Amino acid sequence: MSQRWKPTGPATLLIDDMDAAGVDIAVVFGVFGDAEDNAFVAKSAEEHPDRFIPFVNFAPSYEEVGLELVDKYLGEYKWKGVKVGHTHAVARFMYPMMEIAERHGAVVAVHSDHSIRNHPYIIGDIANSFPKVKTVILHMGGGTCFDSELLSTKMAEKNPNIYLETCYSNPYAIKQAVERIGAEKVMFGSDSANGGYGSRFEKAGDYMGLMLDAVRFADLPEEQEKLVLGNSAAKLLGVDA
Amino acid sequence: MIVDIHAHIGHHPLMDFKQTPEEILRDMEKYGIDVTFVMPFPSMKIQEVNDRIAAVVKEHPDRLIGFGCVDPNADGALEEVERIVSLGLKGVMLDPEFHRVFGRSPKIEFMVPCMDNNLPVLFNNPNSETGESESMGRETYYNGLNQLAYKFPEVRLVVNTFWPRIKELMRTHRNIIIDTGGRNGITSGVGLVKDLGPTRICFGSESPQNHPGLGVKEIRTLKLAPVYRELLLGKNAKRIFRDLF
Repeated sequence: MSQRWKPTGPATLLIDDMDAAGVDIAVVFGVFGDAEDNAFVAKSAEEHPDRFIPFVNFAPSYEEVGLELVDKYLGEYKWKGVKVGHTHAVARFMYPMMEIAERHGAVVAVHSDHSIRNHPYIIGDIANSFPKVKTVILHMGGGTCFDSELLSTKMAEKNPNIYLETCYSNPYAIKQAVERIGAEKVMFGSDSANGGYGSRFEKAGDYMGLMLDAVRFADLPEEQEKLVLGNSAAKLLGVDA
Repeated sequence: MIVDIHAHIGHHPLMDFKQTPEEILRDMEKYGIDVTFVMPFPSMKIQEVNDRIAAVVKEHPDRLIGFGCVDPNADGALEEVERIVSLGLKGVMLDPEFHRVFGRSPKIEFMVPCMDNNLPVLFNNPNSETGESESMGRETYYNGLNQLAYKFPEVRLVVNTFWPRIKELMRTHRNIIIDTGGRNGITSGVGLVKDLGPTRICFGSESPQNHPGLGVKEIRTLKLAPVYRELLLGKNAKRIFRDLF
């Protein structure tokens, strides 16, 4: 979520989507990784503590300033994770960020796609360098390039600290991931925002509902589906399911 | 009527995905899809995979329309197009990532029997690093399609929404048709509707890489005029490919 993301709106827009789609809790983070963006997330999380779990957004391009923000939110605010967006997943400042995350026992979630900067293998490399840091490959590499979704699973098979998040992925890849690495390592995500993709759809919750359907259409056994739709993330983040 | 113009049968030779005819028919039943265009994955065993598609569509002539794969560089490319026709298949699929289609001195003679037999040519590129942005590269793809559409204006050429500079190509060539090619392709397709109109965009799931049920649902829930939704879901395909039904 962000105040500058276009189109945008108040944080309650995201809650409207969650209510319409039947989602109880969302992990939220900013888009740009600067102080203002993270502060907006902090304010939103304070206003809706039962609905939002905040992660600090880290942009390696801010160098030391970005690291200070990560340390601040993980240390003082006791946030549970770090999110890294469309940047180079093994940028120079990613390594000190991972050290901070390890020190605080935080989860690190990294955007993935088929590009050389955010390919699942690149994220696998940094996760392999920090085996104590639970690392989430966001979107499972999916979206436009099906190879990346399957390769995310391969990375998770080789690195026990890797988890996968499902948005943009398709049921075929989600099912394969569950079969190979276990449902407790696969977590539903929608990439929704207070605006963003959801605004392209007719009604609140339509977009989030489609992302939920990507999991439901995988025809997983009931217990596995429950894990992917919430229990895996609850366990990872220490939240009551 | 809902028509899915892009689905694969078989096991991809490079990647770990596969689909059976039974799975396609099951999903068609489940998600209300009336007709699906089925094709093999790209293969070096061209005749074998085309024969399989022909056998499948013979069993389900009201539900499945078959396309055959062609390697433009193969010695028997022209003959394979003619064989595709004799097998009862209705179109040709190319995979420029598997068989070289574009680049220097491309072999495009196979387009002549495609034109003679009024076969549409569908480009399968599930894993291209393509995009509307020129900075994503793939000028070869842009130039290749531009040339092909110019040289064979009567042949219907089907590509997905991520083809490089697709808007420019579609404005230039009336014979280029969009296959939504999965979920993100559908969302992008809505943007194309605004710029290019709704009449040359057809729902294609590109299953098994993408899920046909999600594709149908996405088109039904996006902000689109209801009449446009019906065009994308099936009316365009029925009109543009009326000779195939």
